[in-house]
Amino acid sequence: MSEPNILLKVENLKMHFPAESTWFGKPTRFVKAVDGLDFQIEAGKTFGLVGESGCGKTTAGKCVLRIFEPTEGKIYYQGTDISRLTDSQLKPYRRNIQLIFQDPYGSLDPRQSVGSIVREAVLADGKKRLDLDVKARVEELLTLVELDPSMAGRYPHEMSGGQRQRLGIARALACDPKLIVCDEPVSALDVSIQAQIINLFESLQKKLGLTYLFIAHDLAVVRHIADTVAVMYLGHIVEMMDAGELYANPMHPYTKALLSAVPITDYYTEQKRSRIVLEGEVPSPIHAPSGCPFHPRCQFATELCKTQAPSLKDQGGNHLAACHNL
Amino acid sequence: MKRKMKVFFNRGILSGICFVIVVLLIFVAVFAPVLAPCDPNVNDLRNVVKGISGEHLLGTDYLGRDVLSRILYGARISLYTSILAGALSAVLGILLGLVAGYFGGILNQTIMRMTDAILAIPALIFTLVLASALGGGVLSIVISIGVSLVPTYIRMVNGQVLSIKESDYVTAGKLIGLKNIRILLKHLLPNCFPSLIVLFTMNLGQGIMLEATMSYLGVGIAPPTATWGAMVSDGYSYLTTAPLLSILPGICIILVVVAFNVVGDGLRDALDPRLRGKL
Ligand SMILES: Nc1ncnc2c1ncn2[C@@H]1O[C@H](COP(=O)(O)OP(=O)(O)O)[C@@H](O)[C@H]1O
Ligand code: SF4
Ligand SMILES: [Mg+2]
Repeated sequence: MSEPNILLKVENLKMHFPAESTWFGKPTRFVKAVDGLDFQIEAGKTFGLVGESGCGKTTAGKCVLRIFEPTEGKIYYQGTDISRLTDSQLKPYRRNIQLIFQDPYGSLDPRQSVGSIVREAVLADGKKRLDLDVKARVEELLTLVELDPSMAGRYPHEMSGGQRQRLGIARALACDPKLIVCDEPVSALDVSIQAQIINLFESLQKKLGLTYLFIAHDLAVVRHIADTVAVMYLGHIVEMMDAGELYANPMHPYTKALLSAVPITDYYTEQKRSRIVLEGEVPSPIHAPSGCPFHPRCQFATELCKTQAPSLKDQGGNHLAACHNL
Repeated sequence: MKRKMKVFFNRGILSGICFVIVVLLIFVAVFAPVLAPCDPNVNDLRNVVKGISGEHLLGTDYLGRDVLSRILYGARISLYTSILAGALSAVLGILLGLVAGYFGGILNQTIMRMTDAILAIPALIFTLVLASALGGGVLSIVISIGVSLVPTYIRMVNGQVLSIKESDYVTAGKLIGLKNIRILLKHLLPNCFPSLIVLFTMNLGQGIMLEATMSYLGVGIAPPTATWGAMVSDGYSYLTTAPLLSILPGICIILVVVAFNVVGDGLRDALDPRLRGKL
């Protein structure tokens, strides 16, 4: 059978921001926000990236979008390495990869009406179109995200959080993207709205064959929408598996700890499960710990963990984890 | 438009009064030749420093010129110079500020250091020196006031652009493939607009103040042209006998400067879509 159709492949992706520098501007310390990511996303699938705030999820997403030029590593989009392309070389790929923002309001120009925001995105590819076609396309996009086309004259401040996020999605879709990076797209929304937006993402994926890099800190959201899940800690992927395995068979102590913070609705299961409580703060990525990045907070840490970093190893059945004690 | 007006006029009585003052100033400036009872520059040495009378509603000055007519014509000069200077500085300052803020790097460094250097000199001194170097006259006043106000626009636009260009909607604009020029003109500039309107109107006040001060010091527009600054200066010697000669143009200056500031604030709210419909 044919190879799975890999839309995005990331190899050894690193993004280090200069943190301190000498008087002459030569950086001496770095924030290792992303420190060696390897993953790939099959076309039409959803790849979930989870982890606590500050672990480098947004930075990884912005590298894929080429908002940042990564310090190291390769980003293959449909087989082409886009990690080092210049702005003008990126042009043919720009509109193929879009972003849905965590803060929908901040992602919309407050002085632009709904219609104008979508129209601008439609027209930004520079192709000549009839006014009539543009108008029809704008209406089609608004309908696609379940916004009433009669809202075209409104402004972002007159909309609800959910409507703003729908508008952000419509703008992204106006570019006919293949890959959409969703950076915690529902975390700023009311719980009651979150499910609606998640459902919208799913139905759009079915209709348009979209591929998602779905970033979240909420495991329940990710398990629901993702096909594959990667758990990040301090710039590293510590575990990667099929979404079903996340709850059924977590292996890494950090993943287990994250899961025990999620409430289980069934009372008896809740009583029986053992809780691992995360102690301490996430260390700053400037002072990243030696060895396993998780060792200062890990209750299973041994001497080996303090000196040697575990690598991401296949534990069977497409399930990767980076821990010495497996 | 209706909603914009509503926001503007819902700001209370002070706003309304100041708006009327600005409108009045513009009206007077435009129609001075029609409104003025006498020629502002005709001397009448038999009637010097006369008080209020039927013939001269606000009296006459030390050369017997009609004070009312001179105030009306003075409004013209004040508005004319400050609008020209304001437009000059706004165009230059906005352009430099946008470019410096958006493209950054060495260009930004150069523009901002020059701005700091000019701002380190008090505006009045800078304008005075520049005006005397340019040799007086309306044009040189306009240029020197204009140039001295440029840094205020650069500073403001630069600061705004630096913060707005990091915003998510500018990122989104780049991702959908907008050209730099479109981001600059369609997203950055309009979002600087509210603050720019305020700055522009306040600078109109500042411009009138600078022009008046220069005329008062005798560096400005040459006599016998009627300007408020020169009138304050001329009337100074008669402060005890005929205080109105200085006080009337002085009040005009203050009223107009304050009015421009208040109206600027009102415009900012009216132009902000987030405030529209709230009141
Ligand atoms: N532009 C930047 N310059 C310097 N440090 C940054 C920058 N962006 C992110 N960081 C740092 O990188 C780390 C990861 O941030 P981020 O990717 O936003 O995490 P997450 O999205 O998982 O919350 C944080 O410590 C953050 O302070
Ligand atoms: S390698 Fe050691 S410190 Fe790291 S997660 Fe495994 S047991 Fe814990
Ligand atoms: Mg983030």
